[in-house]
Amino acid sequence: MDQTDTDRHLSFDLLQTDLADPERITELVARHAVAPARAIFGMVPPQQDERIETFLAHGHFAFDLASGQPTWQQDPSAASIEPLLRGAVLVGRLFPGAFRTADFAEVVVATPGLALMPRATALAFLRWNELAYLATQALGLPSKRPADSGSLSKEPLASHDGLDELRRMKTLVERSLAQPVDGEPDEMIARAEVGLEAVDPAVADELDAILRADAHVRLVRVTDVEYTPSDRPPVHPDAPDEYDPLVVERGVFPITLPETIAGLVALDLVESFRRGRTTGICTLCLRPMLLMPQQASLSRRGEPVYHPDCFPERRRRYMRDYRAGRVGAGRAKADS
Amino acid sequence: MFLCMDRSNNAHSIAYDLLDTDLSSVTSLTEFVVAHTVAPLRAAAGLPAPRVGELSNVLGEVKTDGYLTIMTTKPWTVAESSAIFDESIRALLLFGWLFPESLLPSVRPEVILENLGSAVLTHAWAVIPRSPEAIADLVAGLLGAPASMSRSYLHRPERNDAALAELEQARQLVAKSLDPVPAREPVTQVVDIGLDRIGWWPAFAIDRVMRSDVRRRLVWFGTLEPTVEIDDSGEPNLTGPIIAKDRGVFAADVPESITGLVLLDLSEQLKRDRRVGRCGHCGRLMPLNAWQSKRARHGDAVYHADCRDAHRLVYFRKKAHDRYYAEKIVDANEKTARRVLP
Repeated sequence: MDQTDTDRHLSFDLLQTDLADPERITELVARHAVAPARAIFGMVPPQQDERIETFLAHGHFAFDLASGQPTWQQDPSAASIEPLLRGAVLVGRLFPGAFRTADFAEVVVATPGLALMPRATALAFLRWNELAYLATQALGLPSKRPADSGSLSKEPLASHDGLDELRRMKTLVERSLAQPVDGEPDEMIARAEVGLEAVDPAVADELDAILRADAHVRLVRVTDVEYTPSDRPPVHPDAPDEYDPLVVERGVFPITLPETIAGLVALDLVESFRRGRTTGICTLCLRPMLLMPQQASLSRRGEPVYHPDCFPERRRRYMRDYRAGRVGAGRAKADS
Repeated sequence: MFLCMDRSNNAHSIAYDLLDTDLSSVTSLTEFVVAHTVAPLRAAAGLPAPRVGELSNVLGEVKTDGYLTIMTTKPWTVAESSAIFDESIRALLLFGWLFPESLLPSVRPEVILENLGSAVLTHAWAVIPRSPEAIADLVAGLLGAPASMSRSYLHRPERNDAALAELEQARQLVAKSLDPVPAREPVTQVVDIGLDRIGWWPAFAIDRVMRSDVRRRLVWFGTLEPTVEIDDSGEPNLTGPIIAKDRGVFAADVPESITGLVLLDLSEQLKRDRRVGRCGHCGRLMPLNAWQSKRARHGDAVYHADCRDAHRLVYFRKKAHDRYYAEKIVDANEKTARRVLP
């Protein structure tokens, strides 16, 4: 598995996965939950027979030596946070009770910003054989707990609910990708081709109901609590060092976070649907826009398109940057 | 159908506009409502933006022969593109939440939220013809002031304290989100990765409202069209099956309350991380390296590693396809010319 695997769609991968085979389930979870968590630390994706040293040797994961807490040695990118949180929901719902922390997924959906670091760490350290153990247990097959599986709870509970939900969603994804409704015997449905994805209206209705119930738009405040040596004088000379909490804040941004496995798969599936030939995204304001034929052609080639009033703004920004660059260069020349 | 939409609305967002709106003033609130309900829907239909005194010469004409007055409107259709969906659905919902009594039961928000795609394609008529004067009258009723226009089935100015309270709540949240982050928060270190900052409490409150009131939806962009014929007496009769005209599906974020609507708009104004861009092929967010970051800042397309290859393949397939058909057309023309010309 290489890093680009994290860009793959969970829903399409689910179609190829035999949900009675623990190895296939392990692959699916490794690709869509553990790999995004490792990617946020720059670690290699999970693979069979891996050892903890193998993936810890790469990337930029670090423990703060003073407090013993994990820290972001390199700031997390907003683009990596959404896949990570979705992966945490997948693992939490598929293997409830797998971790020592109770309510693994509940904490993610309640406070996604605060759950980021603890969940990223827990998932990134999950090894292939631990995942395989959890998958075997979820299927109700005899399984042997791997050695050194310290991150898992003592007696992970086996639950079929998550797998049942995955099976149900696999069927729904299959139905959504089936041939569209052209040529209905009673000709009750007429297809109009405007460049959008054709899905059976009954399936679309089912997917919409799942999304409406389970996929919420959220505002994530990327926040960690770190510990710094305290300024307070020690109580007595032999007292251990004291640490004060420090809230490290990196800002806010919106994401769409599903709260169940059904929501997760449905969300992933609908994100693969096109928005039509006449719809583009303005490069400046990132909102959808109606394209004129020339813009549609530009957009198809991957060139930027702009709303009529966004274009002058973009030109102004460009000229401002250009002028600032020239002034800066002139000043540097004068200084030298 | 390609339409050039006037995007003057784009310059001001509903969240930021709400900050500048005096919620106790009929004039100020009317401007806000017209800008975010009638204007986007008219733009989606390719009609001129609303302005005072427009009715007789913009949307139609009024004919009178002494005692009978007939008002006709110009024919218009909503663009069948998902590009107009976000603004149109938000406009329809906002109007419905503010003035539910002035809409037919089939066009009220609770019904629209069940049939998003068909609502945008078929129910825009409920708001588009309303003039700024009519909106001002509805706003006066909303605030409890006396209305001046006569009431009709589709024009019922009614007081709506719940909607006003929700607008006020949303406005306060927007204002708090723009406050400099209070210094009295627990010892905080700010790390700038290119994201906007919002204080702990407003961020928590906004997230809570968005979690309950803003959902990702799958929009079925279709309509139900009955087969109707006019009989000898001039009455319409259902003569065949009701045919579903299916234009496909797409995903969109849809608010389910006024506060959700305002906060969704607010969240769309927030900056993304400097090192984050949107892939030009699959449309997903992606981390950028320094070179890609510069390209994205200049407005050029960036791609995931494997999307770049897929994008090139699509480009060449299209080019080869166009050339093949262009040659076929030339061949066909030559054949025709040989057959027809002496």
